Amino acid sequence: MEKGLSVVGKDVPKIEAVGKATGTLRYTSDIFFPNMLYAKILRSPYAHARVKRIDASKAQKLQGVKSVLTFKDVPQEPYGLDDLGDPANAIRDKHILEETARYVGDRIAVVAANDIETCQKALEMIDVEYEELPAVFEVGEALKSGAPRVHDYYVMGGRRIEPRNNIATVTTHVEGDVEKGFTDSEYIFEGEYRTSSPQQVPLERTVVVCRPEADGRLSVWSTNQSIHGLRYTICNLLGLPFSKVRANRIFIGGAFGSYIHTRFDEPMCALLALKTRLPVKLQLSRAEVFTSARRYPAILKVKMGFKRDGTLVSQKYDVTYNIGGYDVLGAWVVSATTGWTYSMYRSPHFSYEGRGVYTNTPPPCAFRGFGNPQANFAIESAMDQVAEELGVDPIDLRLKNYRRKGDLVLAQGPKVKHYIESCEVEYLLRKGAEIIGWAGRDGVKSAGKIRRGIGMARGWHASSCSGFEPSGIADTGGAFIKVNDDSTVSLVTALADAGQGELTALAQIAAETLGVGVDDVIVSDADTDNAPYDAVTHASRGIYVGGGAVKLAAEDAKKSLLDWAGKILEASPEDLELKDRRVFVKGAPSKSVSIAQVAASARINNWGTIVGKSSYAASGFAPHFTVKFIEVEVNTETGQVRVVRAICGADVGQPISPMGVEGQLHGGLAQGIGFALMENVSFDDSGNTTNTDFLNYKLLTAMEVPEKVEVFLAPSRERTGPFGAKGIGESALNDVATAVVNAIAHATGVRFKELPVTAEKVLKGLRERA
Amino acid sequence: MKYQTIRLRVNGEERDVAVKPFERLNDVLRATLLLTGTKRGCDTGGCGACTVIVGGRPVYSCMMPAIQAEGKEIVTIEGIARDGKLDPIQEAMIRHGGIQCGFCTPGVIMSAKALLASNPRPTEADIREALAGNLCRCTGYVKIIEAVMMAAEQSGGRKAR
Repeated sequence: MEKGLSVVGKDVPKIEAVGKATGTLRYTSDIFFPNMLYAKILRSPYAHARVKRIDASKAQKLQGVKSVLTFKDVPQEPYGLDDLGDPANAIRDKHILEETARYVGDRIAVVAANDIETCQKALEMIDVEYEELPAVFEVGEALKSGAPRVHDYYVMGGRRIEPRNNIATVTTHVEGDVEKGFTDSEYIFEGEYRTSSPQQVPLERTVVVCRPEADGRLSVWSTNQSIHGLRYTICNLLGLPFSKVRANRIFIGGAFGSYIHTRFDEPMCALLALKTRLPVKLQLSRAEVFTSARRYPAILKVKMGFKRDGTLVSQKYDVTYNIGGYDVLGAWVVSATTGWTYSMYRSPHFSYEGRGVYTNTPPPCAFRGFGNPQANFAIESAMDQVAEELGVDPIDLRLKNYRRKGDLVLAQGPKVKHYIESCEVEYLLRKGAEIIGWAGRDGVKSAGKIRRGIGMARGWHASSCSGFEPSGIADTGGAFIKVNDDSTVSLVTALADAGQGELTALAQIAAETLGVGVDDVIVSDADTDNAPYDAVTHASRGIYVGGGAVKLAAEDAKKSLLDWAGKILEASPEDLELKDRRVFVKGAPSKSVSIAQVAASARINNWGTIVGKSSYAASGFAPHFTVKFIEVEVNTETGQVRVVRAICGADVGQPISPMGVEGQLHGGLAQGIGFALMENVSFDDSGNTTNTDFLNYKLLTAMEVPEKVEVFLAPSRERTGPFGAKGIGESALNDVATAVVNAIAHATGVRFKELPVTAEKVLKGLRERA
Repeated sequence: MKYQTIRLRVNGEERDVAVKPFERLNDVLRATLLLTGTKRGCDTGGCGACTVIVGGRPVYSCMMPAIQAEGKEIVTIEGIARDGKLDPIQEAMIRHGGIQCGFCTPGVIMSAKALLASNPRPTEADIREALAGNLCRCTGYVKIIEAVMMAAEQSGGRKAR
């Protein structure tokens, strides 16, 4: 880790923590304006149906109703999300409101009225006649010839494309010759894995507020991870110049990927505000949240060929994602899984084929890991079983084959390439093994009603979407810095903070660079008028790219600061250093001047203002690595699994805030245990979501989190990251479920290949084994 | 719809408010009194983000009609700092990293506050149980539980176990 740091690497409370602890910090859901309207969406009760007739005239006339929009009142050109990649590649298959519903809950009309109750009444007064169409819910069914077609066509690059067998998108990547590789192998493993579809469950419900301004512009606040993406999508969809919309950054009450894209409700709300010339708030109910975002469920087929000594020779992955009724980020997750499969283990022969399949279910979207937890479940389950069958220690098998320093890795697609520089996987595996007592792990096993076991898995994630060649994915960040007359520093960045501590980490980076305290950094409100472009706070890139941009901007400001301090101290800028809000002459601690005085002198003497700017794209994605060692208790009578101990190790490079990294690992652990054991948005035979509240959708409470959770960080430093830092957000979760399931296998001898591993499945598995 | 005027005592202040017959206490606090520190995460008493203290007990304000709170002392997250000094639970949550997105935080703090008022020296199991009705999606609860332990130790004057 880097020496001589005074702010970076220290535990600091979040800059906004007092506001959050006292209830004074405002979220989008806390915004109330005079004369603000509320909006509510009319949703399809059918999984697949065409609207034959719709009559909103009665609803229009209801007292208090200000506007009703149906699919007839929105732009008719289909759209696809295209702010992060080449618009010619976007799958254009959706509208703000639809004439054909493709899942239960699909958007048919929307009402704005004085209050929610009036909205509700108005929705009931909209007369809709549906023509029900045949629907398909599972990918297996959807892929059959003659299956109902979810979309007859979509538009891409101006061309009309008819998806065959509901396949919306395909990505392939091949190196070497996998079949030859299997011929050369001495042991072949094949497995099929199925992952489930948990909801992100941000505690703040999805919400957007739009307010028309006196100058004809529109202000927008939303639970969205990118103000620039939000502005881009609203303006493009509604045919507005970018100058007409100001998207404002606001703290988000949890996101976990749900909001990396601009949703259906945001342009809808904007349109209502523009039509009514009044502020409009559109907030989803918790039930609507459950049907509007979730993790992409996958079926993953793995074939691996090994030499007897455990050397991996050939890997073949075939992955099918259920992308639901629309391509929200389906093509992206299919593409990204290239990297998640490719980058774990070396082999001369590799092939990946992924596809995204339409079904009449609510479209999933990004959720922490973005395909990586799914891939990890297949790969790390397979490695565990292979180790057992080859009679090799699971850790040794991983150490033999993992991609390491100097190796090529891929991330969100075949074009996102990086050579690993910092990599402490071996440290993580050995240290985790030591802490949990891996060598003696069979000693915890027991034969009675409660079976104990210890399992592990390793994981990783990219820290951005950039590679050493152009990746085709927008990934640029930027920042503005201003040093004030009292030595405080104002920082403008477009990055979003959904609780991960992004803005605090950026303040630490600015403070470290400029020799001030974190309390001296004011992170200004940011909007699309004042902040330089940043793609989106996703892909665990906030610190690696966003922090890189802040460091550059601070260094830019530092140039003027040192130049002007040099004038005062009669010294050359190269001989100066910053510390404790002062500029010192190196080696002469008695010669110094305060930053405040430099700023004031610069003003009085008309030298200028100490400012800095940056626009920054990383030249790679610097993988961060994790391990999880998990101890479980399996109750053989009830089938219940309890995680009793968890060791979370991570190589994040230089941690900016170790406490923040711990918090990420703790949160990822709880979400990962939920993914392993209980969480899954499920449907009945008609496509209705059956668990849309917290009675029916269970996630971990304070009662279920393991009593013993230990975190350790590898000593590591990434050359390409700010102060040596990499990301952490996603790999905190990626390997958790696999470690839990491997621990269950150790405890019971049963290998579960379908998530979640519910009590019912455990009992069934135990019965089958007996 | 008929409105009825009721008198609520919120954070020590008498407030006269017009409420609809079944209007939730949560809506009155948030939309009428603009005390938006109390959150709303669901409508069914499932997440705990709306927890406030009414008559000394933690309640889900999304499940309580406002009229039921009449005549009782209502305490919200805005009412627990005294003379500009934060409550020890707030202090511990901030310092110990018990806050991430912060949306569950007011509810968590109110549940913990009610716990420590009735049980100043809780065990870890007591804390877990008291917080079982407050969902948090960010922290995995680890630092929240530790923060409440720290606050208890600080205000209780002896080590809690």
